Amino acid sequence: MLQAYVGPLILLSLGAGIGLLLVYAPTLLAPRRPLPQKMVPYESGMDPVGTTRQRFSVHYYKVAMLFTVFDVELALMYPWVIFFREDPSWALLLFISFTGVLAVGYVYLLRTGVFDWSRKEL
Amino acid sequence: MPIVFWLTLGGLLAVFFTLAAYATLAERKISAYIQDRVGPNRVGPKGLLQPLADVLKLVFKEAFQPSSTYRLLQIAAPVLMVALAMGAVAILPLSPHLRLFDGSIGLLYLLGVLSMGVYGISLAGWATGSKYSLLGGLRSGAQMISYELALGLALLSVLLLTSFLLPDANPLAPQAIVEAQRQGWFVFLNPIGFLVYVVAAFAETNRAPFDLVEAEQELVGGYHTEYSAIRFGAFFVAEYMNMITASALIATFFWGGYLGPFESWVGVSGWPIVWQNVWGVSWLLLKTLFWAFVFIWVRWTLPRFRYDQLMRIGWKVLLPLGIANLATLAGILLLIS
Amino acid sequence: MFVVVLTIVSLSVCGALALIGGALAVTLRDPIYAVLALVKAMLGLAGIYFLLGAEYVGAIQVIVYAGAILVTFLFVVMLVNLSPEDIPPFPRGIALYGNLILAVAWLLLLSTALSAILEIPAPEQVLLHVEPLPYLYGTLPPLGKALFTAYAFPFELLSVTLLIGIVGASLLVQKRPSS
Repeated sequence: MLQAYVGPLILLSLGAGIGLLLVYAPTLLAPRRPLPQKMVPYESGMDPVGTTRQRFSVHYYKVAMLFTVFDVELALMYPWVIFFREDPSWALLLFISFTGVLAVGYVYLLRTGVFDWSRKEL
Repeated sequence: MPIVFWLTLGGLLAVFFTLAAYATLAERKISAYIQDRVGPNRVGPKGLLQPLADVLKLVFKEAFQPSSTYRLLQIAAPVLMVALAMGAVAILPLSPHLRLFDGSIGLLYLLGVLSMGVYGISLAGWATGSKYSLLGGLRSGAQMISYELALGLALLSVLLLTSFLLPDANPLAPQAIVEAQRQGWFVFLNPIGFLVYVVAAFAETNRAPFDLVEAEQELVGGYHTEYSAIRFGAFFVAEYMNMITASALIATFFWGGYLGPFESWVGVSGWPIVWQNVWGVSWLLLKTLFWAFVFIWVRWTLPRFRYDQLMRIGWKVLLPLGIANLATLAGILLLIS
Repeated sequence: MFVVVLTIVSLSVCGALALIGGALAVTLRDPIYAVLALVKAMLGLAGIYFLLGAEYVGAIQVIVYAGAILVTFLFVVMLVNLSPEDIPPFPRGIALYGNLILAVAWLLLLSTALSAILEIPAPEQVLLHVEPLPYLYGTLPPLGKALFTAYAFPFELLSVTLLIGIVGASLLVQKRPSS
């Protein structure tokens, strides 16, 4: 059974190896001339204003939370797809009632305007 | 492992690397012709050695990290991206007899690899302590997870069709998806799913018109602003690998993969296995090249979306469309059975 | 025999990954590294599921836990930007005892897995047993059947749970009405 995963594992580790090679190539081959100006994060050539480590818009977090909810639904749908061929009508009934409940939540989300980002929030 | 496996692996790697390298050149050439320029033509005949020259140049450039960087994370991010970009190829069935991955979870492996990709870009953006990078990383994180839902729904409709058409096979196996298309390519049987999948695939690979991640007019370079030399090159390579994989996946899931048109009429299944393999691989390659061309074509034709538009398309159009498509398809299949 | 040894080695590596990741997630002071340690723990768990033959659960572990829930955590860290100084240091003694407990737990886990594997009569018999149903064992078809027939009602209730999640997520980030 583990044999089935040999191909993916080889490719993943080969990719990691190539990535490491690429990332560490400059340490071996390239010159290194650090300058104080070079070591500052880029901000259109000006001195950086304030720090980057500050608080950002909460909307990104909201998207991540909602994604989690819908991702769980998707995860449950994979066995459903396979079950569908055994008892299509029962499966469809389950799907519609399950999605129907989620649709209530989805409509609620639409009404609260969660998906309409104003330009300030980007 | 049988010798065929190693030959397949070697062949796939050779073709994949060549394609990824020349996709960078193709992008520059095609964009040049679209904009009525000539494009790179100095290195080698017609500029054919340009990718090699690019790599050599980038390797010998200085790679510096700003002082505010989380050094380990900044280095780990491109490594993760390249590893995932290569890991995703394993899912492709190359011909009726050649494949690298045979696990029972099939497509779930692909989804797992895709879901890990968020970390690469988000960490790359966060690690350097540059505001442009952070915004790019956050945007791409939110974009990738939003469109992952649409991608998953489109794949579910593909799985539903496969499971219905081939009741004895494991529908999660990519091989089964292609075999199910002997009765009709899914682009015809499931056009809405195809549409949702293609849009989501463009967004997942962070390609235009969804390249908000590196919107150069607002974010300089986005998440890789602070990457230099070949460390930037690693992201670049991963991006083009992802583009090739995404093209091959569109071909596999919706355009019949290794199946040629009029397969049964030509009588391929009666041929010797070697010729069946050649036939299958050639069709897959042809379709992949076509879709790679479409990826580049779209990038140089369509303007970029605004971020609020991007979120609206993902959550208000693609998500309901994907669910409605799945329900409709299930209803139709129920009526047929 | 080789397969059994390989399985035991991989199991112990994955178990160590999971336990060390979990321990680091609690003890590391820099939040971003703590989240990444938790990702490592989840991947280790997924590896254990895979090795025990529960491939669907392993895949879902990666997709839902590492790919969705921990991305939420990562976003919190990226958005709130706590620095290590904002977090009180972990008391030293507790870390030591915690590590000891973890080591014992790891050994227990390993010995359980080991005994479970050694109880299997012989590798060739196992292979003979598994071969006729390569994708049925521990994967989707039986799971789907159980989930959508015997457990159909709990499955439907799950949608209500998800609904609560949706409403909660949107309430959590809403602006308070400025009264």
